[in-house]
Amino acid sequence: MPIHESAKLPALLFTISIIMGLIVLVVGVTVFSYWIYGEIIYIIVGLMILVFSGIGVGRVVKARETFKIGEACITHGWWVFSSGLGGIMVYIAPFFTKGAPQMGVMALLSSTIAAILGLATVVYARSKLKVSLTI
Amino acid sequence: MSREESTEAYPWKDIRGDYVLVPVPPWERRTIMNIFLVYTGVLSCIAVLWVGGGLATQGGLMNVIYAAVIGCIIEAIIGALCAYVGGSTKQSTYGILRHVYGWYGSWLFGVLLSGIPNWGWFVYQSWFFGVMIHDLAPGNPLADVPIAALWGGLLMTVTAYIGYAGLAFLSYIVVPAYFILVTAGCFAGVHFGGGFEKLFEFTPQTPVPLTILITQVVGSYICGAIISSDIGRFARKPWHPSLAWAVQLVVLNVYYLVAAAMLTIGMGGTYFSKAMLMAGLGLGAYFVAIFGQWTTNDNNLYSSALSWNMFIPIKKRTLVLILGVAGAIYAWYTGITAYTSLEPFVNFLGMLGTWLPPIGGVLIADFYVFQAYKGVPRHERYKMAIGKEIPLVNWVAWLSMFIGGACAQGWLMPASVLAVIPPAIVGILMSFIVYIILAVALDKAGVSMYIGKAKLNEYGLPVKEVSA
Repeated sequence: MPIHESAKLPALLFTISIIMGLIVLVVGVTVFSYWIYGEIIYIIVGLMILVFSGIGVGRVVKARETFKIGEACITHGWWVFSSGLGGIMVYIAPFFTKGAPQMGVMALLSSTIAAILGLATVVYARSKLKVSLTI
Repeated sequence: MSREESTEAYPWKDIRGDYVLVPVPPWERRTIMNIFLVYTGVLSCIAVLWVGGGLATQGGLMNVIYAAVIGCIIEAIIGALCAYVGGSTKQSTYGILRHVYGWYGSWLFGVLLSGIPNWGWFVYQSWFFGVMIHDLAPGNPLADVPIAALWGGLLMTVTAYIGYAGLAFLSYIVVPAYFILVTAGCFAGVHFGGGFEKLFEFTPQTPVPLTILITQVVGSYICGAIISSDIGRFARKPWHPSLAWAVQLVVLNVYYLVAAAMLTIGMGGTYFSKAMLMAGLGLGAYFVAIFGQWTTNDNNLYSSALSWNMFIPIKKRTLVLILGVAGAIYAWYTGITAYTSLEPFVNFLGMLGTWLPPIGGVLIADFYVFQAYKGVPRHERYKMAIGKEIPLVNWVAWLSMFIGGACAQGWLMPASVLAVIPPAIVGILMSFIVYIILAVALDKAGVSMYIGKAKLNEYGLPVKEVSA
């Protein structure tokens, strides 16, 4: 069954967010051996972005009505945005990037992109699909 | 779904706003995720971390884990039962209390259950907010405890003023980020306190029994469990709020309590802000302090205004504004007089845990047992209809509630029982049992439980007394 026209952009945005989540997750696994406190946070943030975006893609691709697509965009868009925001606030702290600052920068960038994409999904749902900001 | 698309008949007129007196219409109902996030927004606050920290100093880590799991399961069951009633009837807790305690009972018990305590929570959490901001920026005049409590209280009034949409909007933005930051803060605290090895070696100076710890867990959120219909009424299906409530309790509340306990054991106190600042999480610390309190406290004010609005005939938004400004001023005054003392908060928790749960016990007994005994199908129970009769007073419900409260207080129950079973649970169970016994016995004897009856009009108000 072809994907609904209105679902194409949010599906793309969520897919890019999945990649961002994967990057954070990989960073977490990489720093595992030498900084347990940082590693746990990387993995939690990475998993949250990954899972929220992944379910978001599944829901928008399956949806056949504009309202249902908008509903998925709002719910998962906010979740991805908030998870990314949490990641940004954590990765600017030197404590969590100790030992591998370059990895921290990578995680910070990925979280920032995920947050922006989450917000873009919400804006799209509100402006184009005309759904409420709190569905 | 828009109003035009709805096929369900909706004869009600919402004169006070936010569906205070009437059921939530189909076009205003939200997804299960929305309900889950709003519930989680209430849960995600500094107070839950203080509870976890308090438990750690009394029981050690393993006992905290046991107490958190058992206490949260108890709260999840009670809250899920109450939330189902809201999800099924689409009415707020106080609207539901009309059917259980009668019209005047909904005034009295609504105010006892939520009007006063939730407004009190609003005041104390605004004050907490002031304390947190003061810890983060001690030199700033705007971060002086009374001043920060005042502007914090006013800030929290804003989303409560907007209504349910305001609460939901903030919860969407805050909840996942709050979860990440709390986790980060707690891990930082554990690290600075000496690492994970220290956590399991810790034994409190004067350990308290597990039942006391469970009581504290249950007491800390039992009021929220009983008023879970205030949010649950916006759900699309009756079971949605029950599931959302149970998941957030059993997963997130347990997590927050245990994380806070780890932080406290690690650092020797619930120095959450300190741990975050030591880790360089300054921005995150502000986020947690401001938004963590905000998502909880706007709900406190929202629920309090809902209960007062049952009998104060003004628009709900006006009432929220009055209560919010009064609460913020009181928080400012608390900051001046009590400053950083935690004693009022602890006393407040203790009172809540004893007398309020029986109100829910009677509600659960009437909806699930007595209505079933009367042969009313579940989806028809407490269903609103224009011209439907509601009691003015259900004296059996009132009596059962007071007996339950007296048992929980220890007036009608041996201390040995209360040492084993948490008083909050004793109160719920006793009011539940007493209500069923009395209601069924009186029904069989043909004695009325009701004093006066009235018919509902299209505004959800009683207009005509049917009989004395």
